[in-house]
This record gives sequence, structure tokens and C-alpha cells, in this order.
Amino acid sequence: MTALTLSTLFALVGVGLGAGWLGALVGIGGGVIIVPALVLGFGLDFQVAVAASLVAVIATSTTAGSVYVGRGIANMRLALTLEIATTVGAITGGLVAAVLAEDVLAAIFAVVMAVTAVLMVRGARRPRQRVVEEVPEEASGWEEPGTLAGAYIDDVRGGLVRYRVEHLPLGWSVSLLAGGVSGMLGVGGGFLKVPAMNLGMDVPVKVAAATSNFMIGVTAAASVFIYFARGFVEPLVVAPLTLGVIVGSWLGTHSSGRARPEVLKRVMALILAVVAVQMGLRAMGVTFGG
Amino acid sequence: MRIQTLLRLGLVLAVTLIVVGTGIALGEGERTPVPIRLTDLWRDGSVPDRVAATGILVLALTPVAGVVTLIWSWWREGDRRFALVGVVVLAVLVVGVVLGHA
Repeated sequence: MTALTLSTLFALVGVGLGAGWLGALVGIGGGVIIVPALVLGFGLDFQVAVAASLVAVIATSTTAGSVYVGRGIANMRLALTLEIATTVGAITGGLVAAVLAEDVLAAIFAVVMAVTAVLMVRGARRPRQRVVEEVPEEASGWEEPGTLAGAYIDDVRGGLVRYRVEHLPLGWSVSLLAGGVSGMLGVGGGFLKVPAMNLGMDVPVKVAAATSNFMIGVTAAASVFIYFARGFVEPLVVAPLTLGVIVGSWLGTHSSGRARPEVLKRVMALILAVVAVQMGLRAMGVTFGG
Repeated sequence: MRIQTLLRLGLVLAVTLIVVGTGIALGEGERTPVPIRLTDLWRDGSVPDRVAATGILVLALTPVAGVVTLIWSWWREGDRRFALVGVVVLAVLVVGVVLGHA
């Protein structure tokens, strides 16, 4: 990257804004947008782009987490139980990424983006109908101490929904993989964890998404210190990007009621597919323009 | 302190430092971004770089502080099993910092 001018700074804020907004609307972290934008658009080294993206993931997680945790939707006991595997994966991913060649990382990123695009267009499976109870007075969501079970208030169905957590080894396995992908590529990994929790562990999708949102911040923190310690963090690139992501996430969260998620998911999948091809070509040594 | 309050405080402090660092950098005119190492945070680099980097560090530490808060609240509730789970996660995070410097 050359000099940081006012226009570059606004462009970085714009990338963060777009990534945060789209990420919040379609329910994925902004990393899948930020890393290719910084590598292909700004000519940054892959590891520098990943480090910037990890900070952005923490910003997204902290912004939304302060809301979801307060509403009692996120299951913090489940989050930290799965984080044992995710943080190990993230640290391993971060250490591996520091020694891998850029074209190898670009190739892995292209594959992950293509998989994410396919998962997005396949759509969500019809959720299992759960029993809705009357909400006790002044109640919010809660967790049962000593167990992973909990309950949350479903605003749409207007009642309290209790749930239990099953197949923990499956959750740990997917979390380990999601952590490795996050630490290596700078993405949140929610696209792996949310389906695993929802379809594999029988956690309601709202709880899975909110829990995953808190988790991605802790996971990104585990690997960002490796990038920080090894000199891959450029503060004046990360700073405007992070500010854009925070504002974009906030806007995305508050405009989600007016958006059509299915249309947005298809648009996002198309963008991911195009960028996956670009990253794949870069991995093979084909570049566009200067 | 409740965890959501801590997350908001960490976010506000980090954003403040990042905005101040970026603002000073803008005032100094055109410049090339340079990387900064965690160990050199308060030794090398220009003032705006160091202020913005400190904001980034605060942001990165916020989820870690969240884990500490959870451990503390579960320990006080008498939920020793999950307090221990939190301690294991915290230990892995510390290992990550140590390995990053190795």
C-alpha cells in the first residue's frame, strides 16, 4: 500500500461500512469481504489484511454482543465450552498463516469463500417447532447453572422457549475447524458454527447466532495477538476500517427489518463467488491491472 | 460489572483512541501506514500510530476481559464447573500471546 491520503482513508471507512452492513444483514462476519478488498483492492499483504479483518471481527462481535448478551439470547456457558476448541484452532491457524506462502493462503481463502457462497444459496432448513411457554413476569433469557441448557424469549412467537444442548463432541470438532479457518483467514467462522449448533446440537437458531457472535470476538482475539506480535498490524489501515465496520454493523442491525434476507443472501453469494474466482486466479499468479 | 456493560465500555474506549489517533494522523498530512509490533507499542512509531494501536489493543482485550468477567460471575454463583471452563479458555488465550512472541 502506498501513502495514506484522505481519499484512501475514506475508501477504507467505506470498505468497513459495506462489510459491516452486509455482514449484519445476511448474518456473516465481514471478513469474507474485508480480506479480498484489502488484498485485491488496496494491494496489502495477505497477513496484513487478515490482521485488519480480525480486528474488524472483534469490533463486530463487541458491538452486537453488548446487545445480544443483554437480551439473554446468547448462551455464555455454551460459548465458553466451545471456545476451548475454537481458541486452540485459532492459535494454530494464526501460527500456520504466519509461515504459509501468500498464494497458498489465497487458494485456501478462495475455497472457503466458494463453500460459504454455496451454503448461503442452499438456504436454511425449516426450523424445528419448539414448545412456547408463557413468559414469567419481568423475565429475560437465562441459563441453567452447571449445565448447558437454557431458555430465551422468542419475540416473534411471543413466549419463552426452553432448550437443551446435544452432541457436544460434534460442536467441539466444528469449533476447532472454525477457529483454524478464522485464525488463518481472518473470517469469523460463524458460517460453520451456527449450522453446527443449530442442526447438529439442537440449539435454536437465534441462540446459535447470538452465541456464535460472542464467540467470534474471543476467537479473533486469540489469533490477533499473534499477528500483532509479528508486526502484521498497521494501525492506520485498521483504524478507519474498524470505524466503518462498527457504523456499518449498527446500520445493518437497525435496517434488517426492511431488507429481504433471501435476495440479499443471493447477492452476497454472487459477490463471494466472483471474489473466490479472483482469489483463485491470484493464487495461480494471474493478476488484474497494475 | 455485567458483561454487556464491560463490552460497551471497551468499545467506547477503543473507538475514542482510534478516532483520536486517526484524527492526529490526518492533521499531519499524507503518510505511509507502517506496521507496529505489540512489544514496541510504547517505544517505536509516531504518536498517531501508537494512539490508534493502543485503541486496537483495547478492542482486542475487550473479549478477553469478558471471559474474566464470566469466570468471576460464575465463581460467585457457585458454578465452579463453568468457572473452570472459563479459566481453561483464558489459559489458551495467554498461550496464544506467549506463542505469538516466540
